[in-house]
Amino acid sequence: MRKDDKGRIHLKLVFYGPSLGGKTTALRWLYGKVEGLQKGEFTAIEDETNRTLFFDYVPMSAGGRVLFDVFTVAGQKRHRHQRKVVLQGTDGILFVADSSPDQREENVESFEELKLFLGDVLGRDIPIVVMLNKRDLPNRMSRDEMLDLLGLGGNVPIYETIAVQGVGVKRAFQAIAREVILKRMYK
Amino acid sequence: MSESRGDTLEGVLNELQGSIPEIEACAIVSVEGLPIVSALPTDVDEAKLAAITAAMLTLGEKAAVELGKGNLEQVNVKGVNGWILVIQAGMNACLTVSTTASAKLGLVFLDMKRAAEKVAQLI
Repeated sequence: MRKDDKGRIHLKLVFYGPSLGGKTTALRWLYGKVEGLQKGEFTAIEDETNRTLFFDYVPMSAGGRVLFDVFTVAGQKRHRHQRKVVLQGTDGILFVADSSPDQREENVESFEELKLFLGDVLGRDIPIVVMLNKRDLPNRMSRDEMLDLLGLGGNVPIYETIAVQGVGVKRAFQAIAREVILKRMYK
Repeated sequence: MSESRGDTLEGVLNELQGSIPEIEACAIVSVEGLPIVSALPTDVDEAKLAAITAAMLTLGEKAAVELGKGNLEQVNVKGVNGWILVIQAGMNACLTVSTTASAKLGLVFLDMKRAAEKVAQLI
């Protein structure tokens, strides 16, 4: 959380997760389709095939003097250092897990990396909401299987989403925004 | 042409509070938990009510989803001294109402629903 020179409070939210899991798609959907959030410009640092190289970024406002600086990370394994940089100063995490069975290991690796980077503040000082994305896949993993895979108990809010259609994305975003506001502003 | 009382968010809350004396406080809060407008007695803090609304939404949403009740529509809490009621007011806000224990809930919900529809149009 930081205050800018106009006295506005900035809260940083980061979409995290394995490569091609739907992080950028979810952010683009929020940017393009969701009313009621005032949005600034969409900034993307990506390669020629539109894969995220460093991050995507959109500032959003739910009104008043509170702004959300919303980032995604580059999911490919080789961008580990960039992900660590993007995580600096984060107030909340939206973890986007991929429901494809062939992404089982990538989900685990990404989640373990997140836990390694943030340590025990994850879930305690830095709230996390998990999106189980691509729920429209016919061969998707079950919800329970994914939660077991990630070692998630009942304390983390879970949303089943289809980012390409926007299903569940807004609710997941509202949930992490609310968790962060509760944690940072109403201590 | 003059504006009627319910043409502003403040007006909607004043109208709601005026129609049912058992309503002690009411507020419009963003779904993220930020206060938008409120009509509160002096001993109730707007930020506190917004935070309580956010916490109720978080828990209510979790309960509704986990137990297969679908998307959250409202959260009701009863204490010995009254009710705290939260309902959706459009896509981006909630209406939170605090009442005395003697409030007739049917009437309260009816007026809250009307108020929420107006809020949805105004936000």
